[in-house]
Amino acid sequence: MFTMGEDIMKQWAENWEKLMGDHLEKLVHNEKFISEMSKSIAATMTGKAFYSKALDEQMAAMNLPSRTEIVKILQKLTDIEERLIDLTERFEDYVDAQQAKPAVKAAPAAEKQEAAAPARDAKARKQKK
Amino acid sequence: MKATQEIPEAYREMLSRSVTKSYTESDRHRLGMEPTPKVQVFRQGCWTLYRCGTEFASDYDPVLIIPSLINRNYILDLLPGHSLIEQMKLAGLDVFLIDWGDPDAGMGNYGFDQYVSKWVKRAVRQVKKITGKARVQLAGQCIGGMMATMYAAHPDLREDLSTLFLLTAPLDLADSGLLAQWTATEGFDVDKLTAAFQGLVPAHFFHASFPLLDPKNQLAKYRRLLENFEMPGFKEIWEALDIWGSDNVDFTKQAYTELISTLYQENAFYKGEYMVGGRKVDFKDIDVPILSLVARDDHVFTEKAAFAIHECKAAKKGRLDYHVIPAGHVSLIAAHPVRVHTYTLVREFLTRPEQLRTGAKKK
Repeated sequence: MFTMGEDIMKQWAENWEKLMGDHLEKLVHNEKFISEMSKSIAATMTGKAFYSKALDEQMAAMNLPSRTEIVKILQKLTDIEERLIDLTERFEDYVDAQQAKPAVKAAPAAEKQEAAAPARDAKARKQKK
Repeated sequence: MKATQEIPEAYREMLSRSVTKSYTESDRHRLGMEPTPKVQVFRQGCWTLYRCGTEFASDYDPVLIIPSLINRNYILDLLPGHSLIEQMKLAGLDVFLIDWGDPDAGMGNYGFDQYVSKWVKRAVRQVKKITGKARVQLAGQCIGGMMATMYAAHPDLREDLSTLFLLTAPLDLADSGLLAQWTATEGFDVDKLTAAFQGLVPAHFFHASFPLLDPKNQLAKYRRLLENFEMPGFKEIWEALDIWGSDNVDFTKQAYTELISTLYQENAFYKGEYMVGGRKVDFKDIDVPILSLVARDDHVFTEKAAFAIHECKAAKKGRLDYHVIPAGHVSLIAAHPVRVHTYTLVREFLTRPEQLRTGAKKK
């Protein structure tokens, strides 16, 4: 059970939550607010990009690899790994196809042997005579 | 609300961990998160393919789950009794799960095309090889659902699939909620916003905006915890969801740019103009049986974004099961009591005999 003081606190907290909730809800749906926020973040990010570029140039001047160059190497390594797995899969598919082939080939060869057998037997019988 | 002196010490500790986001591996163990054992069956770069459970024999086509790129995949296997994967295993399904892991800056040039036409394709290939089955049941959650739809719509890839299961998957992103409104706002220039990032867009950059999608819920979060603190199981699921919500993943710069400019601002996938593996993909061509589950109270996408699935061939042939569930974006599978209904729908669809896959009812 709540005392009178606690009741007031509870009421105050509920009111605060509702007011803040309504206010924030309006704010996140306000196009002007979102637009200004986006522009402000974009400006900060453009500044950060400019600073990163300047840092890259400083690193290059010191003959040291920059983050941009390291990322490029990483991208190349990732591409190589991708290509390697691609080739492995193609090779596996090729091996699977080859393993399936002899069975297909063996069947006609066996049939040919079987077909030739009566002629062979007849020839053998003739020679015996 | 409880009086100050009645607030339990355990609540204060939980509050402190949540506010400071100081969760550790021991918190995950304490709660018993990710209850289903998983075996790694394939790995490339940052992403891994897992086979779930310990018993793999199944009478059904295997299920491959594509999780969202934005969060970790363990929302699908959160806690015992709160796990979609656990339910799939109980239904006798052979379940495979992709873990996108943490992309590195070297993957910055890879967008959705790479994810779908190379990596999901590779995962499908592995599943087919391991199980010996010719076709796979593809499932996708959130953005993963959009990727699964791209796969199912691709003229060369769709032959791999026997069914498609979409969980809160957006397709039509125009007017699809607050995120769509933000990206459509004048001055929202994704190239400028990401100009400073090399390779990756850090998780903290875009996750900072997520609480603003549902501000009222954010404000009520700790009050609700206090009010329900003594309710059996409530604090465990609350904390598990809080851990998941604060465990964020970086985006590759290309995927982020595509998501905002191509998929949101141009709505290219819905219009059938998005290219995967050099081919245009149009979800309207999908002709496999589909289960689409949508959250009524979704704060990320409105129902309209998912409703677009009704425009595909399968829907016109009565092969679409579409359900709107009275829950939130993740609570429909992880928390809300209604999740039991979700589990029933999923189990029933994925184990449905082939001959009964036509003429599914629309809800």
